[in-house]
Amino acid sequence: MEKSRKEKYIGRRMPRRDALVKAQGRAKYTADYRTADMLWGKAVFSGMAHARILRVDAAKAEALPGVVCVMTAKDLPAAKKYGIFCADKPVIAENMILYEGDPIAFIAAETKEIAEEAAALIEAEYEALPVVEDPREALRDDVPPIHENHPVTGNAKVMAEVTLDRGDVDAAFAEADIILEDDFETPQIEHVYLEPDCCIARWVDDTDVLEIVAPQQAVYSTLRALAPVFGLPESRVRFISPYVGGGFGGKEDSCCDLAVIAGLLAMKTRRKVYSEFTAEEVFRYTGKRHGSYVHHRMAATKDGRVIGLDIDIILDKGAYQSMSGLTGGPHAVAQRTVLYAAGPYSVENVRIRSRAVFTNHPYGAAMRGFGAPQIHFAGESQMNELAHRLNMDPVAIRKLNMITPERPTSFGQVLTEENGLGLEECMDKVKAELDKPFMPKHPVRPSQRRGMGLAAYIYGTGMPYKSEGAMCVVHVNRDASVEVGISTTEMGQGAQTVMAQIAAEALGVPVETVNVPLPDTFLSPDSGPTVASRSTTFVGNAILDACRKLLAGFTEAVAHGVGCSPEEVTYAKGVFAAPDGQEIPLRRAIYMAATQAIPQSAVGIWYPPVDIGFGPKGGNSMHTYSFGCQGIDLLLDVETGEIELLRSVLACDIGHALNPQLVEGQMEGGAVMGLGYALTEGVEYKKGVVSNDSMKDYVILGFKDLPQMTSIIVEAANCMGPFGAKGVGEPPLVATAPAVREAIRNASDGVKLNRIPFTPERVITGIYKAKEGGQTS
Amino acid sequence: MKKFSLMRPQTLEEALTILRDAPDVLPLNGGTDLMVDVNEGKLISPRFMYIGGLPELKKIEVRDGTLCFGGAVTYTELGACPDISAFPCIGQALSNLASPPIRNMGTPAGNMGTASPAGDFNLILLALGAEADLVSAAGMRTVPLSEFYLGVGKTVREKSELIAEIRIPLVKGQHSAFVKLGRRRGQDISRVSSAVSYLLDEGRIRDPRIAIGAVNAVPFRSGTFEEIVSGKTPDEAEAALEGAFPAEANPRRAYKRYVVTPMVRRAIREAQAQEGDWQWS
Amino acid sequence: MVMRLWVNGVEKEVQAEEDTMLIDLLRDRLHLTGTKKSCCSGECGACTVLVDGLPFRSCITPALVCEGRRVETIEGLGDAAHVHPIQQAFVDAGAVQCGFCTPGMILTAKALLEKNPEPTEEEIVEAMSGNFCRCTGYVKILDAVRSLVPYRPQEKEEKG
Repeated sequence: MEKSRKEKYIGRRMPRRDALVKAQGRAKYTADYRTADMLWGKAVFSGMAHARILRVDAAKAEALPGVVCVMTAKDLPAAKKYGIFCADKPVIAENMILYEGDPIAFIAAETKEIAEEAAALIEAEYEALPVVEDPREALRDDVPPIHENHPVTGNAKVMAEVTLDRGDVDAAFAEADIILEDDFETPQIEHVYLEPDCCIARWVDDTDVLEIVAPQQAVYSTLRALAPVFGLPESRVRFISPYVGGGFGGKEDSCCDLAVIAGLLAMKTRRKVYSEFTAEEVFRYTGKRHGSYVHHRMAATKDGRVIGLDIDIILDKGAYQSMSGLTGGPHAVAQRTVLYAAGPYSVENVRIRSRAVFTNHPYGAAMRGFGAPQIHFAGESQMNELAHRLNMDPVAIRKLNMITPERPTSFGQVLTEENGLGLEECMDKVKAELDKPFMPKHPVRPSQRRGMGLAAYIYGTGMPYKSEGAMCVVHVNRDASVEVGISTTEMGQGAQTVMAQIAAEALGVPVETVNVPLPDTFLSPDSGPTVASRSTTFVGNAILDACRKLLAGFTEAVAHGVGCSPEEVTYAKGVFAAPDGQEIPLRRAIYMAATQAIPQSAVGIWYPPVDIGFGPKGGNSMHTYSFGCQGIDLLLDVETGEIELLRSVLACDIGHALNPQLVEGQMEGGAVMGLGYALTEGVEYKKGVVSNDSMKDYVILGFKDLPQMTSIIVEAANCMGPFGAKGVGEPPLVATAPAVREAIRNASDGVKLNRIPFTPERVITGIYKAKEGGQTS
Repeated sequence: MKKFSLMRPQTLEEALTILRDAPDVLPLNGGTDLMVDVNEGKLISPRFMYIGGLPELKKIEVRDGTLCFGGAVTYTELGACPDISAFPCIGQALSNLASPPIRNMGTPAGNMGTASPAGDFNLILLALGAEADLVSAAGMRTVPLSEFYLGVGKTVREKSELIAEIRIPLVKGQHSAFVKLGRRRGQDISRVSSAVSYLLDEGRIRDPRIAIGAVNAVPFRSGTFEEIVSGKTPDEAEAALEGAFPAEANPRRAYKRYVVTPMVRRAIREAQAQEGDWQWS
Repeated sequence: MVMRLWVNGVEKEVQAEEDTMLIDLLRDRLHLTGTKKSCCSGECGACTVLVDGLPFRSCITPALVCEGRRVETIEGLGDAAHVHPIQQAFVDAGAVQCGFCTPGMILTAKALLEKNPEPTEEEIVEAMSGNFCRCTGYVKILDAVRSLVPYRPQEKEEKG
């Protein structure tokens, strides 16, 4: 698709429409709706990661004045377990604590202080059980399974196993000139969205509806997951999401953790209930990025062609399934690690196994990148090692291996230029930028060494399921203003803004007249969850579908009204033109439609027109993929292990930037989150309980850590995307960690660090071990 | 149960009387340590006495060749005092200590009281040979910083005492520097830190103070390192320390054995170019 | 007890317990919900308000110690009818994503620019370094503040 640009709104750097209300503090988040008449709902936890519950006694708590009710497991009215895909997480733990976030009671009190006092009065006795923290340890025969009676997996230790087996891996390794074999490790990661999880629940008495207001990412996922817990049909539970103060995948599940507290207490007390997690509780109880242990073997020719991959991945699943696939389907994160294991390269012989293993840690949930950052850390690190071994340029070796129309993906999907293959352009541009001279702002210390590195990525848009699609509804009012009903939540990515741009462009109306209300399951159809970098493409295409239907109807109405055939009527910039020269403005056409039983509202729907299906032998997985390249330039102090970032150069092929300012925002934010992944972040535990449960001890990057940031938008259009777009929310942080690893390797003359984060402690220990000739990490 | 109670004496005398009669009362300045403890449930319903506004504790002045500042002076207020140019390590510390909002609220005296092993300014005061006046209703005593800390969170301050004043001697020709190793650049707890001061006599180090923080339970000066560097030029001192490890240091984490000396050497090197700048008469 | 505070240029008398934190007084008693509650341990800066022109962590500041001091919240900068130039700069630069850090960022920028209307890049970074953001990667926030230099302070409108 050639560069646009006849479009009025598409491709424009339009300021987002919620920026002003947020900049003025007028934007309301869930906690801002709390009023003094609401009860305070609080869950009580055991402080233990693994225990049998012997006794819970709520009598003293119930007796405290100001406590309105206390619920324990025996008080649950309907389903006792829930989960986004699989109902395996206890609403209130009855017999077992499998991670610290399994609550033992819910309390509703008049004030927060009384609720906290009552929580301290809950009496409980436990039998402590051995805590299993390392999924590799969990697999040992002498370690009993965490789940004895899981609803899907019984007493299995492996929650899910996903495999890919193509070609002849053993033959490839037998004939290879070079074999690389390494172990890589990444920790669990916290989302650290600034808005702590919270929830307001209200039983609407005169319509028998449970109304829940909470920050979330998937109003329909939470509805489906929780209606059984409330014992209500989905049509009687209303989920509303106001502005969300950051999600990054975490608020897909964590919303449920709060909604069960407030919702059940609201139903029981028939009063409005507000519940929240403190920042510490978010750290301790909500889902995390899966930690990974990857055993990675690569077989290559001396010319640099990767001919075989043999990879074993173990993921720290934590205590519950969370991001499993559809019931009975493959585990989503495990599946993505397999899908992206070969990176953006065409490798014919692959044997990949990924197992999500239960532990007593917080459940592995969705987090930006969804398995791709973990596996790219391994794969791209080894690709860089191969380049070193063969003394080849890191970009050249990647070009040699990359997916082309002639060379399909490692899972057998053929991608053509129409799908958008922008990797080469991304790598060339990153390299060109890194090659430019750059002087550090401060004098370089004698102990500091300079190093640069890069890595590439592949990341699909959407989810690899046949049921993956989006619906929307577009209403055109009599005055030609438009409402777009979608369930996409606004968590900072700018969905409302870009959807308004798409609708305005498609309908030829001023963008200011397009309203995109915040999601509400009573008003918005199911657009699918706000995840997987899918909203612009899937929901955008659904909106285009609805707009096409509307315009087709209005065209028909005009044609009938003027007495010609619809093919003779044209529409541009808000005006219909009849063959006799008559001009009918949109408003008039709408009225004509209203008199002819032609709809002024349309349901739009979009499913990728690709045969999606991924199994152990591969298959088409997504309708399009983003490609990109991350370059890093840094100074390494070889005496202390300190890293000083100089430059981050990120190029992302995102098909087409519908709003370049929003795209840059995702790239910049993603790159910094990726740098934190590489350098400072990681959940730490003491006896299975999160020990760095605050922003003081869980370190994210700040202003002072920023290198010079360059974001390069590459547009290799996706023929199936709205105006050529691909997703951009997650790709920006997929390749950061291996790029940083490579830069450190080059700065230190060969220190190979295979565990992130690269804290000064890890780096200096690695430098010294390398000096002593040992394993560096 | 209240989160805390808060008394607000109007004068230092009033404050000291309260402390004499109710030693469980905790003096409160900016709250950057104590209020966090309240929010995190580490302090249950404490009785606070706010001293942050007491005029007697807000003075900053030069007196008898020392820079004196009161126990309620914030980091920001200290940083605005032009006389700190005599101590380059203070300027360095202030731009690396926590972040501006915390410096607007927090006080050197408060952090002395908290006695964290990683306290950046505690280290500075040690390296500059500071002393503090502890006052109570019964009187006053002066304690050099080198004798102030007893352990993690433990100091010689009695419950009835307040840190009324901290004094740093102004020394003509004094060089100083502060360095810290953290996980990120801004607002981070030091993992290893060092503050160094010395004079240069014809280019040779005299009266060195080498202070190391975030390694032992308390910030400490390394006498062994000070002996090594005395009489040497900074370059010679750096070279002499290479590969050495301060005998006084006892880090719990193994990697600190690699990085303590490089940090000290860095501080010595930086101090060479950083001579105190003041209106010596 | 009754507390007297100056908030956004207006003296307020508020009924509150002595252990009320400034952030809770602002949000719950005065219904000024623009100041956000996040880490509650003085780390993230989402709760930033200005006290006598200085950025403070309202989550760890007792309201009582602010009696007689000037407190400014994001609501004091502007509203739908009057957009403060710093707010406009954030909008134009794309410096707002989820918006939770934004009020704190804007107030910190205001404190900087009013004290130092022509800050260097380093001074901007230093001044903002106590405010954290998880969405933007900070780049466009810096763009927004830089775009205001040299800064012309606003005439204070008498309110209330």
